[in-house]
Amino acid sequence: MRHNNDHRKLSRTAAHRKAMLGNMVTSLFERERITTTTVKAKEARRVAERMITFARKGDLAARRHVARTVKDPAVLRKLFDDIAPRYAERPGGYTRVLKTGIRKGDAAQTAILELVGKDDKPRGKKKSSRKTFHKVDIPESPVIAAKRAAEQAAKKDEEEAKAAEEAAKKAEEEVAAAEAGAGEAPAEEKKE
Amino acid sequence: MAVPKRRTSKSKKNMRRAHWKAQPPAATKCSHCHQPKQPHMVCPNCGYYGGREVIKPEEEES
Ligand SMILES: [Zn+2]
Repeated sequence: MRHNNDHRKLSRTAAHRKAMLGNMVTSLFERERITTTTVKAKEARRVAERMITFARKGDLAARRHVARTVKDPAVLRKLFDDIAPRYAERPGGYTRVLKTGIRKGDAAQTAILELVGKDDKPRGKKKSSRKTFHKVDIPESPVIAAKRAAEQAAKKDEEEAKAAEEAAKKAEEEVAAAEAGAGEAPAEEKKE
Repeated sequence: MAVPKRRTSKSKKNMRRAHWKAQPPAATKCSHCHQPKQPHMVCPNCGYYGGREVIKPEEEES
């Protein structure tokens, strides 16, 4: 039976474990990548994934909830404003554990825990047997919404600028053509 | 209570332990540098895993 086997205890008291995982996750968000033992990495991964999912919600309640784990305000800001928008389209799986061999001294199995890159695609050779992906129904974070709106505005501005430029060019050409018509022999002038 | 009648001889002891061997760790070839490495681990030689990620630059032997 595996009843109540919910997590690894990591040879620590509950308070010690909670504090340690909080510190590890904070470091992960700060540095994007941390090196620990494989077992600790796997435990920290659970916490980190939950924190990112909360950050994607982006509201004040989520922020306060995450602040209970991520104690550093600067890192908290980074998580909500920088990390969470990266994963707006990703249905979980924001982190990766890579095993890096045996540590000298205590022969512990070490691993790297890192945030997956923005453009990293799942690299399965086989097609996933999962036909439908669990849809994470998260209301869009105000931060992400603002970012998207800004992007769209920038795009629109760009297009308008382009259109204006083209119009100006056209007008110029018309003026040039008119001038050429008035001064006769436009072809010769162009040859020079 | 059941109890051994004879002390286990050196011979019997050694015969029993003759099958007690350590297995070498599993090894595969690194797809990047073709050196032997353990499966599901970042290559200790070139630091590659999954065909692309340079996890750590080469470890300097001191
Ligand atoms: Zn290699």
